[in-house]
Amino acid sequence: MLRLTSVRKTFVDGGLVREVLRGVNATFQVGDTVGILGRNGAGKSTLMRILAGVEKPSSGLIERHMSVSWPLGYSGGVHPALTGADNARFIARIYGRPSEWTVDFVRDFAELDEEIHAPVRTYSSGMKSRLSFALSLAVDFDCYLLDEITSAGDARFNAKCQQALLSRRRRSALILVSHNADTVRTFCRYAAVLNGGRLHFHENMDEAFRVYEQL
Amino acid sequence: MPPTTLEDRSFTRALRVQLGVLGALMMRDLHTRYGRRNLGFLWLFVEPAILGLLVGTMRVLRDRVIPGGINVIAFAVIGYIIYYVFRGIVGRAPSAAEQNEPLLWHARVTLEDVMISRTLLETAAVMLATVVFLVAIGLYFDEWPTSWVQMGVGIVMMGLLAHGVAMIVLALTQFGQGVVERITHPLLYISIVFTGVFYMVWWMPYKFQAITLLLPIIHIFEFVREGQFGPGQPYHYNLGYVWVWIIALNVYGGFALRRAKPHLEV
Repeated sequence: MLRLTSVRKTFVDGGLVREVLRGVNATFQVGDTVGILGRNGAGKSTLMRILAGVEKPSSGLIERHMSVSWPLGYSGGVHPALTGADNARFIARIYGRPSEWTVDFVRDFAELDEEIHAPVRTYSSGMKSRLSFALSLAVDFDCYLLDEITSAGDARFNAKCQQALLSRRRRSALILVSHNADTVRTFCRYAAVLNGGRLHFHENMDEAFRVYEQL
Repeated sequence: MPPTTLEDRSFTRALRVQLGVLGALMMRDLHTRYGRRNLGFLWLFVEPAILGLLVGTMRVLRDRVIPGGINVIAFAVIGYIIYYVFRGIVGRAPSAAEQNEPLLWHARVTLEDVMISRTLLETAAVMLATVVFLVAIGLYFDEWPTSWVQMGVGIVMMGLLAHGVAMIVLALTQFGQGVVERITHPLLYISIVFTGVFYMVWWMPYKFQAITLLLPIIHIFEFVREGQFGPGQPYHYNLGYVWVWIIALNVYGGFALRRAKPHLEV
């Protein structure tokens, strides 16, 4: 379980105070698949970083009773100067997985073949997304944070992601940020709208999209 | 697929995670810094060797000896390579956050880990290079160090001193990485002149000795040289004084970095 209680996050930029999150309450259980909708600058990425434990909230409580991935996107978590294989070894070491097994798994799942020995900065955004996603699957988290990652992949890889996530639905949660309505509908069972620094959950997907589109 | 035990919160697991993170960061540094294929690691040996030979040749051409009758090449090469610990750790500090930004997305990897892994790697690399040079000098001139252990302890102290300074430098980059970089690098070059890389305290006029000994790094050079050349030279050092500096710099640096972190990790 991952629970946020009145989580607030304030940034101070050159004397300017910006309240990004003003009291977010949420509980995510194993098996939950939630899409988070929000306008640009609504604080989606900040929320993801706080969920991942990369960033500390200014105030509020976070109870993390499951292993949570880093926010998976085109960047972040993967070093552009290292090769795909070296990134895999790095992640294997920090999360205590067998190195060569991880490299093999990632090469196969992300379909990188020999490109796995090239620096990540030479990858296309689709390749980067595939690499990130495969790396996180190799670690085997209880909760996956996806930040627009699926919009870069092709349809076939999206289907593969979806299948991988579905097959672990009983033991994993998924929290996905996307602007794309189709992505959210494909991957998630319900949706939440981040607006005005608060997160509003909607059991009904259509209702969530109605609220989002009126913002 | 082996089972994950991410929820085990015991101390041994925390230690294992910590060691795993440090090991991973050191490997990452080895790859990008010294490179798999390029000559980065070799450069650690080549630069002091060239410098030592140049300084040695100059001395030999001019007056043949340096005060105290020490082997000039042994003196210059080892002095310069030990200075590498300080220059390497402090000089790379301003870019520590920027260069590792993508890796800080893993909650387990912190800027402190980045700094510790760099200090460990830099100190170990110099330690290795020092051994290689000492063996080469020993075989060629038949002059061996009096105490390998003392030299090793000195190099470790150099690493710890540099670590404290590096954390402060990194914390300062919150006010602008470019500025800190532009100030740090020239200062490091200038510091070669007055940190004891190429001289010993007793060569100085008496009234300057007390002033130079305010700098803790000079004590370390004197200590290492005692291990290298043994009795027969006057050495000036106070290890207690150095340790006070090491502890003060690391404690202050640790706090400063902690406070600066929210501005560095964005």
